[in-house]
Amino acid sequence: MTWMTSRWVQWGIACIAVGLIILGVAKSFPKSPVNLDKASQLPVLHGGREKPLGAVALNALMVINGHQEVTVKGKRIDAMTWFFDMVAFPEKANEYPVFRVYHPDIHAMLGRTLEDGKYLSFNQFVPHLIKIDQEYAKISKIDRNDRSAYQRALAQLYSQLRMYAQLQQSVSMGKGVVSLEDIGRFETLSQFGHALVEEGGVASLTNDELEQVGQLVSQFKTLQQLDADALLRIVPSPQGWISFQAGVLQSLSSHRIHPVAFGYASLVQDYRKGDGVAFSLHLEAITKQVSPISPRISLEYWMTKYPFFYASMIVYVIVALGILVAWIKYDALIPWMYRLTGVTFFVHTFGLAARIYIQGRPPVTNLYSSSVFVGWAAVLICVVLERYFKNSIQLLIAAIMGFVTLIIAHHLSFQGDTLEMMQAVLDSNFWLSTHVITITLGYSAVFVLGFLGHIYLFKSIFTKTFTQDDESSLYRLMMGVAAFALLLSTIGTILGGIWADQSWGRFWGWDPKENGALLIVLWLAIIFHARLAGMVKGRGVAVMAVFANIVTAFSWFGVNMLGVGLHSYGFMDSMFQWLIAFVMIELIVIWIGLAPKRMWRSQL
Amino acid sequence: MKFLSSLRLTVICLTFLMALVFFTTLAQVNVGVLEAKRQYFSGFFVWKSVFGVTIPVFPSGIVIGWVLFVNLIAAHFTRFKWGVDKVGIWLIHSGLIVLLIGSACTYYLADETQMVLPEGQSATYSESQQRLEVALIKEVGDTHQVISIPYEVLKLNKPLSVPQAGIVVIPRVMYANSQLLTLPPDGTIAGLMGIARQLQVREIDVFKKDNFRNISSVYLEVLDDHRPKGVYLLSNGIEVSQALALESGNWWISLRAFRDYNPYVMTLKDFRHDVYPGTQIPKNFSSQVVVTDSKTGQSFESIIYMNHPLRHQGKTYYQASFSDNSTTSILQVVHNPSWIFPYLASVLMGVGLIVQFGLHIVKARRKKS
Repeated sequence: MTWMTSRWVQWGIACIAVGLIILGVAKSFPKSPVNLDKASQLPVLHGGREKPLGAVALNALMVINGHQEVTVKGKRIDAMTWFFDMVAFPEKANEYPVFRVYHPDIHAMLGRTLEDGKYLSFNQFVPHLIKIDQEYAKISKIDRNDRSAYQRALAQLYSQLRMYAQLQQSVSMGKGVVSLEDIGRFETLSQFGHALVEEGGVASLTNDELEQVGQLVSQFKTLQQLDADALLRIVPSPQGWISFQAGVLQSLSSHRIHPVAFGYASLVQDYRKGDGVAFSLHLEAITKQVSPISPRISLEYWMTKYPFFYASMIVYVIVALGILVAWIKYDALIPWMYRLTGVTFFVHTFGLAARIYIQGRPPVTNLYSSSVFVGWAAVLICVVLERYFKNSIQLLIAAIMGFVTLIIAHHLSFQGDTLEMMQAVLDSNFWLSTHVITITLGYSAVFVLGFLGHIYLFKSIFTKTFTQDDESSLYRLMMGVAAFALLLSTIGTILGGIWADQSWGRFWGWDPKENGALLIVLWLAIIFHARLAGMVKGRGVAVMAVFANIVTAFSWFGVNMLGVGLHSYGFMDSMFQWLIAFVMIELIVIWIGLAPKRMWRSQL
Repeated sequence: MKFLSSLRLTVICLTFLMALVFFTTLAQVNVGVLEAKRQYFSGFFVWKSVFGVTIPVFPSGIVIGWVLFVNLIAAHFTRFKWGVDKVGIWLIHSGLIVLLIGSACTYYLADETQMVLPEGQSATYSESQQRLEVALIKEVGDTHQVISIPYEVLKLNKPLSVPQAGIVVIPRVMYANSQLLTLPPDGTIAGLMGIARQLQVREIDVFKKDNFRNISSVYLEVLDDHRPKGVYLLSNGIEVSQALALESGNWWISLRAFRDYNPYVMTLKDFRHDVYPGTQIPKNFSSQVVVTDSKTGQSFESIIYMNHPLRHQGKTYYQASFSDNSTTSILQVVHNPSWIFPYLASVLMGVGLIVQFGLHIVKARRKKS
């Protein structure tokens, strides 16, 4: 089986394997008469930027439901189907148990308990909407950080219910599902109104005509209200994107309802009738109107359909397990794992590059993207080190870092759009690409250092084969990575200070995030000085390196969770518990690392 | 001396500093940044209440900072060795010294105030967010004579002479934070004058969060040419000035935010607050201002927006906030003569780190080959 050791064969098989995994996790649409895949590519404006409709539906479902699909009576419904059901079959969709509610007090408010199930349908909230509204009015006056777990949960529920209602009204004229007759009638009414104005007044109107004027006015008011409340803008106009309702209202000024608004109303009707042919025709007509579709939107559609990061995460797990197996038994697996990591790193890089292109921003703009980037940079550092040291330790660290950061990112993505627009103060590509990138690279380097510390401790305490040479090479590697981490963290912190001086007039403001960065710098400086003072040697540096993991985790995630109590619900809150668990584990590792030398299995 | 310059001391200090930074961060859950800084970085010790007794538990940040500074300087004289391979180390540590000097200068010299500018209006001064002043104002022709007494110099029952107005003032009761109630006075203080006759002051706990404003109040006894004039109630919770008829003329007295006057006038032409379409996410805030020199009358225009402050005559204006439905702009005004230090330090440390890391890599490669 010599062909199996051929480099090119290994690369080829690794590529095919990763490709298959990507295809395996790709989003698929149910076999239905209507082409939802095509509809998910329609560009819309949401959250201040253009994106494909499919991404909006998926994000909304993830935020409300915590999953990418909703399970209704054992059947899985994808986000696009859910969205169209919501608009075209509200009577059906409002019964879907989409809202995930954790807090027992909210269940109590609805006259039920958590044991009855944590998923609720919109209809289950309907009798309580006024109460939820009143509760929220009270909570909204309380500072975000001073809210209790229940108050946070209720505020979150309120915004989810609001988003649901807004999405449902994306293609609506106010009452029930929009029909073509409604649209046609409004067009006729507005033409009638026009004629009236041109004739010069309302002096002598018949009762019938008066009633028409009344209808026009009331429909106008409803549409205006819906327009003001619209979350999605789906109709292109010379002044930028406008809502469906604004597109309908256009008939007041131009005698004609905007063709895209008309197209969407038709889509909804076709969907309701299950008429795939008409659906495709109307889709085609809309697509023509909104063309040319920017390549950014197409790319985002592909990113939504093929979750590259999710696929990478799976491969990193396989690599980590593969290396462990290789260490125990099958040495021959190592080169395979190396190739697999290489290909996955390429996919990871592609995903990152796609995000940069779609957003037109440097790679790190929020917690989600920092997670993706920390993992990416850690894998890069490890792969480079692996080329020099060729001992597969770095490969294992790469796989673990890749997996952990991507699973964190995966969970963070349920908080909303990960490509959100930047707040004014952060709107500076220069500082985002210098300060933020160096700091984040620093995180990656420290984590690599921390895991090297783990390996050092593990090998020296639990294995017999750890020689003096291994020890000194691993020790040198740790110091090199520590120096790199100190370089990046210090420069990153200083750049942060300069940014702060530029935008607020103070170099240092004791902001928690700044302090977190400083903690990393201080701890790395302590490692170097303690070593120089002879206070620690190899093992001490390894233990301190493990502690550096805690410091970095605190400064990366911990400071964002200040004020979050232990007994809380929701995502950031469960993140907090994971952080505590991580700190605990690292403390145990440190404790084991401090075991007296006579208990070590290696003969150092 | 040996201990003072030792690495061991460095490690201890850095560890202490790390703990202090960590606790300053945690403290911000409950108190504001200023209070957290005060608790952990000012004075000689960090004080904590243990079983009801307040005891020093930790050296303060300032103390650690000074010890580190002395340690670093001493190390330069005793331990540090010259050499080409040490250039990076030297640069990093001299950068650190510059940084420490710079932060000390900023601590003592820098001042932050705010300028609140409604659209179309002008201001010649900015106001402090923390400091207060007792202002005495007299009309002289069509201008004003203003006497400012910084609130910090007032000490309970300590007479303070104000020669420009020919008076002596004695604070009789002082409240760091208070509530003003529209009730007749309870009669514990005699000789009340002005608004003091209609109000009662109730002491409340000092707010420790940044966004809550403390209402300081003081009962101030005024002696006009050594004759008792009465006791006035001054408070930054009282919006109006009170009349004070003295031998030296008719004055108005009030307690207000400390004002920092400029030799120029700043006028807000336009304030913009844009959001991304269909959202509430702010896209940008900007203030279009005109600065006119009070003496020469020369003026220029400038736009202040996020990450683009205006630097003028030693002061820097930043877009900080806004109010009144985006028609009033709030500018942060920073006067920091030592602002250059961190930049210098950054260059020194940055270059030092890169040099040292570069040498490290070169050495490692040489060893390998």
